[in-house]
Amino acid sequence: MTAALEIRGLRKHFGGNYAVDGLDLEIAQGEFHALLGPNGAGKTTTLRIVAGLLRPDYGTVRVAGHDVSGDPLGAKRVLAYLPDEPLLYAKLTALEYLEFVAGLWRLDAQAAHARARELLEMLGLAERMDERVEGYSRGMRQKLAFAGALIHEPRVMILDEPLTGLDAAAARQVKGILAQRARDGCAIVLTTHILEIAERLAERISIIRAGRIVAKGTMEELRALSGSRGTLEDIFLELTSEDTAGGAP
Amino acid sequence: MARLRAPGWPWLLAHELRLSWRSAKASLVSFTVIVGIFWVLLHVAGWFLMRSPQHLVQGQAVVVTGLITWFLLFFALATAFGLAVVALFERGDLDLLLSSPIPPRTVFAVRGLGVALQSVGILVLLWSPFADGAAMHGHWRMLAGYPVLAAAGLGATALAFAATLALVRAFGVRRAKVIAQVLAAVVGAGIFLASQAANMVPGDWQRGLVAWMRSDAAKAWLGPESALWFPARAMFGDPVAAIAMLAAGVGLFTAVIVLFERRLLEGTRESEGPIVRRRRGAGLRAFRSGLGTIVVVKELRLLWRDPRLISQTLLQVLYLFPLVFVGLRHGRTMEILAAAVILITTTMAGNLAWMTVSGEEAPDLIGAAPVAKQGVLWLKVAAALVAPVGLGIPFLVVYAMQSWSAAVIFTICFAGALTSSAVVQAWNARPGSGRELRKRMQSGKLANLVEFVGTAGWASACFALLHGTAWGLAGIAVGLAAPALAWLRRPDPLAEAA
Repeated sequence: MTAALEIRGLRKHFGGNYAVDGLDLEIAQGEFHALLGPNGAGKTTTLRIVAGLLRPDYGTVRVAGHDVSGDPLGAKRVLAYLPDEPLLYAKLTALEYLEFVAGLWRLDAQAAHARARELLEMLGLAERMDERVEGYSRGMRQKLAFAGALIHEPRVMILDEPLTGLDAAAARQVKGILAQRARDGCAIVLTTHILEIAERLAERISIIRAGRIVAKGTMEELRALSGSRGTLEDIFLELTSEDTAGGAP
Repeated sequence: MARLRAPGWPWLLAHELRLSWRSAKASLVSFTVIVGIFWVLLHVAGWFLMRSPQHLVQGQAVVVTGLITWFLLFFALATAFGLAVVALFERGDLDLLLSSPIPPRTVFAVRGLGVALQSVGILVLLWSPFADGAAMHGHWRMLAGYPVLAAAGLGATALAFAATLALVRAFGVRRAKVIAQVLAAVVGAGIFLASQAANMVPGDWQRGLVAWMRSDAAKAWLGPESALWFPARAMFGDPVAAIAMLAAGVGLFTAVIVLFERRLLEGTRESEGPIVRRRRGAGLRAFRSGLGTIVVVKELRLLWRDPRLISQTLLQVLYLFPLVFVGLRHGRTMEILAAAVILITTTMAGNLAWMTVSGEEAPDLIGAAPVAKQGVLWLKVAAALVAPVGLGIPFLVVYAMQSWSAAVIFTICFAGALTSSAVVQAWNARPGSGRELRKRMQSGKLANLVEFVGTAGWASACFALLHGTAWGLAGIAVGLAAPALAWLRRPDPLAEAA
């Protein structure tokens, strides 16, 4: 079976520093995967390369079998990318924004309209779908960006801190939607600094440090690797501390 | 800052000035040096010219001095109008200030002082060499111009704040922003157009105006004793006039801040909150389909909903009008009109193309979408050309009705200029530069220069060819060379993105 996401030997440098330095990762269809790491570890750079927004120096990235460099449009068609600070069009309404996103993914207009209304209803934005985004709160903007990522029913979702700005109820709702998407076969890669979310939701976790994956596996595998019976936070701090030299199992 | 006791109004004013200075500092260093040299040279001129300044407010001379003073006062008003909208509705720090234990009256007063200072800053700069020159010759009263200008700034700010609030009350915050921006543009351009009025009106009108000004009826209004010249007398140190101006400016400012404090508070809070203006049934409209349609519609919506862009574009168009009138007066109606239309529409096209291409707010969304980025880029350019082409078509019809050859020349030059301007912006696309037109100047100076040269080439080509001279071919060559240069100097669009 083709992996949903396959990254091999990925390297990317900025100036003299490697932001990503030989990263390998394979994620199966329907897998919920958390990519964790301290600030500046290379998570966002990796996600931006997968989304086709940055060109890698070395290595390959395949999304549902499509090479991101060789067949970028094929890869993007099945992918959704939600950046950590999604920029929306302040002067468009929520519905106009979703109309635009649906158009970019060339969705059938009628089906996309129904889907947009369904998503806005689901995320509690239906009442204000005809208001311009400039009047939205941070959480509402985040929910709208999330709706934009879902509208084309992607097979792979790349989410950079998707719960930022959401209140408890909205965060729970988004987590529920993501879990359901994973059950439906969508591969989800998520970065977060709230480790409890990763521990509770993700089937497998990768810990990245200085552009390399220093550990990956299920919680049990990570515990075995670190020799700790503690929480993910304990394991994470153990594996990413300055004096720890680690390698992926 | 440390010596000023927080949170008093001097402390808050110092904070405002520091913010203004830091936001402008980056681009101001070279500008300050140039202005500084110019200012010193003006002081030399002021020393020679202001040996006996009182002659300028005596007899018929006061009419000219008075008109210049009114021109300056209207300039301050137009500037204050534009700044008031920003100060009351667009600065993001009002939440912080109004939630602090500083009285709202102090916050608005300080913000008003900031607007007042900025609205007369350039006038003080231009006035000071002459006031200082006169003072060096012993005419100390001329220094009264400084407090009078400050009072004028306060008065202009008070009027701008009051008018902005009235607009908010009548039309709501969002529309008030649009109207205020457009009004500021129109008032500003109106001053400029008024200064050019003598050049713009036909010769018969000019002669009639001169005759009326010499009549007895006009003398009551415009004679040396007219109250209209009160501000000019104040600027030149007439004690009664100066004290009256000071009292009027300070009084008006204080009255607006004190009386309208509650409304200022309500207005700013309304602008910070969600804008609830629902279009009934809009959500029921079916989605459009097709990449071309949705990109063009999205860009046109964003352009139409940008009040500052509309006012700035309007201002640029209005500023080009005197050129048209000057040309018309010299009897080269067809040639000048064609060149002016090309200049106006192409300037607009360049601005709009920059907004759609480099002002893209969500480059990551476009980058991550399964569409060819170049295709989206050209669709954005097409959206930017809709309004300029719409403006140019009626003129094309006029030329076609007069002569086919003129229509062909106009069409070629018009299309060439628009294309040149648009492709220069497309080939120098810097998405995510920010959706503010003023950032255009900082984001690609060479591209802007090349675009201007190309536009000038096509406009002059049109003028020359309609006039029947072969020099128009040289203009076409320049017009073609500009985008070629832009293409050669274009940044690599694949330098970072895959």
